[in-house]
Amino acid sequence: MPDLDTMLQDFASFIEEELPPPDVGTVVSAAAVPPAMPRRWFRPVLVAAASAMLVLLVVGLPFLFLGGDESIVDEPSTTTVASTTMPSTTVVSTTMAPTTTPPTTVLPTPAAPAEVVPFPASEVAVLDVPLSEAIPGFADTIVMSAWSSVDGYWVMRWRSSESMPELLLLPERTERALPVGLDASARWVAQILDDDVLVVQAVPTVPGEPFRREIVGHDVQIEAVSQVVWHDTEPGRLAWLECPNFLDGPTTLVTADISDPSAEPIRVRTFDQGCRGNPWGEDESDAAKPVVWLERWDSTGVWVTKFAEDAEGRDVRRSVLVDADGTETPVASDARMIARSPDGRSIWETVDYPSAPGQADPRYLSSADGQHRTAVPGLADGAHLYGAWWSPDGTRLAMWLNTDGGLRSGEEILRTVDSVSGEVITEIAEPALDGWGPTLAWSTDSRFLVYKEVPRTDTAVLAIHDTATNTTTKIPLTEDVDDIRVR
Amino acid sequence: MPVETAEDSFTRFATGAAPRLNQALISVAGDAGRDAASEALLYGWQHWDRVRGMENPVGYLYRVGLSRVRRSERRKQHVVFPESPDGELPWVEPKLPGALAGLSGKQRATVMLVHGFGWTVREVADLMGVSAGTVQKHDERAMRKLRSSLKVGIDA
Repeated sequence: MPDLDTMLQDFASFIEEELPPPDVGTVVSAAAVPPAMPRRWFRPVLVAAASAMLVLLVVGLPFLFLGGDESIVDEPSTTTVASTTMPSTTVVSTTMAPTTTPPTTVLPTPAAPAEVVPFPASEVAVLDVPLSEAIPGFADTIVMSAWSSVDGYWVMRWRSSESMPELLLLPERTERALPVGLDASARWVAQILDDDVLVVQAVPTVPGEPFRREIVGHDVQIEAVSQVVWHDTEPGRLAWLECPNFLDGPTTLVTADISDPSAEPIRVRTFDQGCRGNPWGEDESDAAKPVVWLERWDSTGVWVTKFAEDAEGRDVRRSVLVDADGTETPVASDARMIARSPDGRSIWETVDYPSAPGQADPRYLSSADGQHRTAVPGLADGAHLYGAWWSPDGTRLAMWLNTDGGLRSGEEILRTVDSVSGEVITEIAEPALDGWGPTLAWSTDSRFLVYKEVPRTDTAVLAIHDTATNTTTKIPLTEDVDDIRVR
Repeated sequence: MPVETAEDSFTRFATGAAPRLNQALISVAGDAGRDAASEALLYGWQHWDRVRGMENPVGYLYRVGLSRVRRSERRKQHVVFPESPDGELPWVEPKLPGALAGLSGKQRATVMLVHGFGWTVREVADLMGVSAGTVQKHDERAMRKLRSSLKVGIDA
């Protein structure tokens, strides 16, 4: 079976061929007809113009940004060490060559799950030296998780003293399940099962060590558990919303400390809004529903965004910070925090982006007390910041950016800088980070960056970048991972 | 000195905007999106004196198109995509249209525009008038939901 991107590209080409853009000339001439004319009269005319537009499309309008398959060229400093394979559990046979019948899709019955599965050596090109020897100076443990609706969680744990990672299966799945991911310490993973069951499982430290805790079980009072987030930095701290109804409020914000087995969940605050409606009103009902979203949980509190739609149909959002006793503090309505340092400095983005290339980037650095704003250190004028990650000691920033604020012609760079002076430490060109949830973690000594690359023409790659030597070691993964933590 | 007529300036704008507007609306609404794109462009031409001065005219017309789609959705129709006849190329994963229909409109637009039509996250964010982070969030959720519905598991 082709990957999801390929399926979507094929499907997009197909529907655009079937539903080509309207012809502009026809639209202009259509409007010349008196307004009393029924609006739909021009449709047959437009359909007639469709074939002409098709020709245009084939020639290629400048608005088709179907990126070509760039070949991935390793940087000179890059060494490929090993190929690491996670077992593929969804076996799908597909033929993409010209064919007269659609390919068949075979979904195997999942194998009986085991608590801990040793990493299948036969599928691994084994790294013949420990990770710490392949990457001198690297002393941490890397924990990666991948979630599949067929199996539940796969967790890969790679200690620096080992030459290959250990793969753990934490089986838990239902027809409807949603992953939450790893906590800050990479000791627990959480997922929502059947909408209203919240389960936390421990990543075993000893093979076979069991740990499963149902934080919220089937509860007649709750129709859904939604928007579960782990605390950014504190291990085992989980926040979520409980909704008596999918669409309508009230919604309750609940927190729990998983690291304390005796601690009961705390009901922090109740909101009037629902937690599962679509703030844009495009599904389930015609009208937009007011909705609350949990954005994140950090040392300042739980970040909650409330959505509504004004009379003219525009999204109206208001962010508040909820502290442990349920007190709400409004957050600047025009901005959203994207990264926060251990000492409280933070990088924000304004919600409205500049529309023309070369305009100033709408990101700024805020002091710990929120009183001072400056430009983001190390971000050159006109560059556009996609994401930022503070090192654990607060002295460094990793920034994923595009050199062109207009994003049309610039280069993507992963840059590490001194978080005070902005002085550039290292730069990685075209890092191929996953734009749909970049996965990046600093090592505990603030020296290495560990991140996932998703080259367009290749499988996912685990990259370990040493800021001390400006070298990057890349380890291909034959399956994607959702989450990477370093501890 | 030649003066650009309203028709000239609209034609210039719309020639660029039409394919993008169409891609966005057929992504959200399937068959109904094509008509919505036509109606949105017509609206743009009829109100060109106002629309031309807007900061983000394509985003505005996208909203106009969406309101047309919503009107048709009042009939409680699910989104319908063109059907791919058996054996013809491009091959369409049979479960994909149904899986896309199971997403919210915004999620569907995001995954189709970004993964299907190759827009950048920033372009989608501009169109929808939201932050790139919001687009990423939609995309992440939508792709997970799609993988789950299609039982793709994790992309190879």
